[in-house]
Amino acid sequence: MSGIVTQRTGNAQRRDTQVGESLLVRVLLILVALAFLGIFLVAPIATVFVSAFSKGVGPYLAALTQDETLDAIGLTLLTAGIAVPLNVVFGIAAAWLISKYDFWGKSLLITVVDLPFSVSPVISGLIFVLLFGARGWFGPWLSDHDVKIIFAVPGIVMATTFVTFPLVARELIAVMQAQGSDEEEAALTLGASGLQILLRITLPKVRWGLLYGVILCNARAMGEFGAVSVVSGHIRGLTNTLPLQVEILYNEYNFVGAFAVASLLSALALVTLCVKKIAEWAASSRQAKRDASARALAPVRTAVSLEGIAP
Amino acid sequence: MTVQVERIVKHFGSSSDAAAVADVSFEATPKAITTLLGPSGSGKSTLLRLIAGLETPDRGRVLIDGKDVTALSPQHRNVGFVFQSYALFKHMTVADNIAFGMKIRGLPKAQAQKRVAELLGLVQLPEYGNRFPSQLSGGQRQRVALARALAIEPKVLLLDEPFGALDTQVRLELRQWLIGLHEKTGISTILVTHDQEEALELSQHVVLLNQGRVAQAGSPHDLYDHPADEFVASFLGGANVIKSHVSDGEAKVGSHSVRAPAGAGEGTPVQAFVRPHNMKVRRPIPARDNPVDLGKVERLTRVGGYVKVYVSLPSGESVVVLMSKGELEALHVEPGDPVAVDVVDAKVFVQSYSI
Repeated sequence: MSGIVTQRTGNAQRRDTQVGESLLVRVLLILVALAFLGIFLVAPIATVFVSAFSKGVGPYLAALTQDETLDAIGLTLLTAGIAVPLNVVFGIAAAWLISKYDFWGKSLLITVVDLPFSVSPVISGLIFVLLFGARGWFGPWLSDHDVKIIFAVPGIVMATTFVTFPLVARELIAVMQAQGSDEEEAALTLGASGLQILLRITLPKVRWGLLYGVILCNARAMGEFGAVSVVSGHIRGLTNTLPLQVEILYNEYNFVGAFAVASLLSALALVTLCVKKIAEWAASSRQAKRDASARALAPVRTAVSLEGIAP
Repeated sequence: MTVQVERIVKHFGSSSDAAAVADVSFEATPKAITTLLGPSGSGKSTLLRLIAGLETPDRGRVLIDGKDVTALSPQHRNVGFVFQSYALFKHMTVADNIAFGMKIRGLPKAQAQKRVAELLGLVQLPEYGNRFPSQLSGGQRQRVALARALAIEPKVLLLDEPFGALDTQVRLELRQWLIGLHEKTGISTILVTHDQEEALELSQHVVLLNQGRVAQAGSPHDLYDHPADEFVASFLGGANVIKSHVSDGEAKVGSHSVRAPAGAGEGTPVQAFVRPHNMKVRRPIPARDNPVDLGKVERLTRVGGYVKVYVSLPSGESVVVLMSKGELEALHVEPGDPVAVDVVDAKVFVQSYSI
């Protein structure tokens, strides 16, 4: 098998080289990888769906259409619906600032953007309890004015926003820094204002990175458990998001219900992956199409001549 | 339409660092191509970006058309800027790229379309309006970038190493093409380049920069024939450096005498700069030749119709002599042969600068 170098011209990535292992080793490695994937990824996800449908489609649908579950779905959608747009606006602003300007405290800002990732989600939730809880810094003032944040929807939205804070920004910072500012500077010399540059040059340039960031941010916003668990108070029908609802149902030994709700979140993850793949595919196929037509055009490269220019 | 730069100073980082641009003043020739020439790090690109407003000077003024624009943002300076990296908008077609500046200015669509078609004709890409930048070759992209810059009818065109990313063949073609384009548009142009050949061929006025300062400004011939200092002499055209000293108001380069630089006293060490084509190699004539002119051929390198003759001199110094292929063939010299070197012309400077 090895020992023969076959070179297919025009497709350098796919060729057998002498640098390789024997057939036995290769088969073993593949089996190990597949076993690992099966145990840690495929089996758990399959279990979710198998358990959800263990008593048939009827109980599955019944579990999903329970009032409390519907409320949890509604709250999860509302939370993601607020947290994602907030983080998109913040992410664009932060990425723009960090990649286009040099200023004092820039590295501090980059660190702060990453902070929610380095803090345990439970601590993230606790921060808000310490700030807005009954004994928190703003607690007395809030209760005087009859504003409820902790154990209410605002707290859940805030905790979710905090936890998903870096997802869009990080994605955009990487993309924007890689692309540089030449196009923005060109637009500036052509007379465009800052807003025009943002809308017509920068956002179109980073649109795939932005979409990817939004997808990740949305998945995390809907699936966040730790931080939300701390601030929610688990009030049924009021402050339970989907992940919290799974826990409640599971603790009540309502396995069909728990896995039915869990299957929703799993389905969300799968859909997210699909959308991400489609986005990547769309981006690369556009590029491939352009490259292909560029190749087709290459032989007719026009010679530059002075004809038609001379006055 | 002209650009004046007055005593511009620009530091990057802390002010204790060496200035990128240190007290530079110059005036671009109206309706001509002015070149900012210099080695990398000489501040030429920074200077161009200061004129466009993409950088803010620490001190000094920029005047366009006699008007002080130092405080004006690039958005309002109405200059056309062309980047080495093209900086085309990748998500827009060629036509949209060219129309961008006109759209921003609110030009009616029909009028903008007409102008785009004219400009595509001017840069000889009439069929390429619907293509995307990634479908074009490097030379084509740079021509689109030029059309885009010209579309806003700028007061001045600023070109930052426009051909730097292209291969030699395309670069030479585009150079000729740019001369033609400039003759047609007559727009005042400032070109940044590190390529002296480009500067000498394209422009009537060269500002040679070194370490953030103007080393010399003038016509290409002025700079070439009358270099102000050793840097100019060695940067432009390249030269052999031969050590000498002042004696009786003269400096000897071999047996060739050159008037000593003003103010250089007896015995002052000097450096003579001799262009490779300002030396000739011939067969030695025993008994008549001054021994200081005798040398030995080390190597011969053919470059097109010319031959570079590497000769080691009795002083231990090694020089390059450029001769035509015909001249050399008539001499029949081979490496190792003794030869005499005649100096036709040399420039002498007091030694203050080492290469």
